[in-house]
Amino acid sequence: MIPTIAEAARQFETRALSPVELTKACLARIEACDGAINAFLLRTEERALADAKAAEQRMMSGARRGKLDGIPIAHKDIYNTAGIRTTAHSRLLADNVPTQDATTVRKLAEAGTVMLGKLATHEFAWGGPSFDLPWPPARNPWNTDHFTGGSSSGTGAALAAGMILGGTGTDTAGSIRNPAGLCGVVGIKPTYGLCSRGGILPLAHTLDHAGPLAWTVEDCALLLQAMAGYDQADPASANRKVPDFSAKLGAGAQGLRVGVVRHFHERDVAVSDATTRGIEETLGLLQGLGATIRDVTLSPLADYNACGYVIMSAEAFAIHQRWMLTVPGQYGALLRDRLALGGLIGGADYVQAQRRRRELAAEMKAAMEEIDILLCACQPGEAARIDAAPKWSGLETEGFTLPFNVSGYPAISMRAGFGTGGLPVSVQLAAKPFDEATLFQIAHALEQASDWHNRRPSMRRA
Amino acid sequence: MEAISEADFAALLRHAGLNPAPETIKEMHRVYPRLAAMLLRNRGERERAAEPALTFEVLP
Repeated sequence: MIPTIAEAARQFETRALSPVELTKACLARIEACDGAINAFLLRTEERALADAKAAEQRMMSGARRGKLDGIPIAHKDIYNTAGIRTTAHSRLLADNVPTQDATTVRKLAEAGTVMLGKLATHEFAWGGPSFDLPWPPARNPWNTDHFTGGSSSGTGAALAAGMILGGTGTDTAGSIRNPAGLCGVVGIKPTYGLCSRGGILPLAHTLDHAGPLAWTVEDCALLLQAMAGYDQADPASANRKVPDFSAKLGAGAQGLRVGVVRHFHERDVAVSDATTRGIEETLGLLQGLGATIRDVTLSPLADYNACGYVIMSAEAFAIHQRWMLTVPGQYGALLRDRLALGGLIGGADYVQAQRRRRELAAEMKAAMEEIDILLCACQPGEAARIDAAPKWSGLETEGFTLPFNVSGYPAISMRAGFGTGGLPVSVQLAAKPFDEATLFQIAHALEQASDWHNRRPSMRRA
Repeated sequence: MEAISEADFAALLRHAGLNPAPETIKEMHRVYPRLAAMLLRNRGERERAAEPALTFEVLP
């Protein structure tokens, strides 16, 4: 069994485990499982073993860098890695070898992490699951006939399968929280501006967020600690002191004020019985922990989705316009068609969406004045079959995650039980801007009060 | 928003420099009303004359 990051760090400290042993165990797990999961686009075994040996030497000489030193992770393949192929899961960048690490890749390496490789994504973080790309889409370890969610699909899958202890993702409309929720792991989209996007291939500049995924809340806090911080390479980077994200872990939920956005899942979009049960059980746990619960009303989910989808589509088309006009056949059909629709959004339509965004962000700010945490659904249900994932999902169904991209507020997705097919369901918690520490506090309390995180997939084969 | 014919929709795509295959145009034309509804929803009907300039300063 692959340990969590926190467990491995403790075992390193007592010399019960070494970074090289752990890295070899991860590589063996990847070798055994990834043929069925397709989480990795590229494995970097030599680099991983070199990183692990260096970490081990630091530990032996008393120069350990912290809890992430010697921890095996992997990066979504839109994070630039110096000298290591970075493809965005696209034919267009199949031979792209960056000369510099993304800022967050560099910061995680400086924390001592071991890089196992590059992980599957949806093409340019939007086009998936696609079967006409040079690499197949990742599959859900809870049932490989099913979708992982995306676009940080390889990260969610590799974590659920126990191949990595942590990983990076990006989230423009839910791309960290959706695969985390559907693969039964934890993923946080931090506050807009907290983590640099420098060196990460963009999807939509004003909605993109970088963040970590891991098996536990505590592990996410440890990874975010290394990733966060000001970076002049990202024009949206917030120049402010990074707090200790683990400071309130173990403080429980007593006295925290939780607002539930019930209309999102009771009126705006239908959800599965298991999702409803998961939300109610989570609320029951919170009450038992001493949190106070009240209902909160926001604009309909359709308003947040209309605003976010239009901004995302227009910005994505602007980024891809040159290739869309010159080499459209190089894209997978799914991304190409989604991007093309974005080409029909006019300048006035884009400005109207940004104006609406400001109103929605102000609405969320007002709604959170007297509460600490918002709770709502994360997905409508369990992961769909991979061959039944809708091509026009963002248009034909409204997602629960976009409100926090539109507003920029931090949001985490975490387990809330299992559906009838044995696949995980999840809930989403959000906090005030730059209050990730409270988000981790309450999510950790919930995790400790339940036993969902003790269940691992049995790796049923398709 | 008025419905748009498939031929006019194809012309819109061409105006944007795009030239998808006919079956793709048909499919995109089918879902386009959803996007058009989003554009309308964002436009709204409220008076925004006194609205401050667009910024992202809502976040602290």
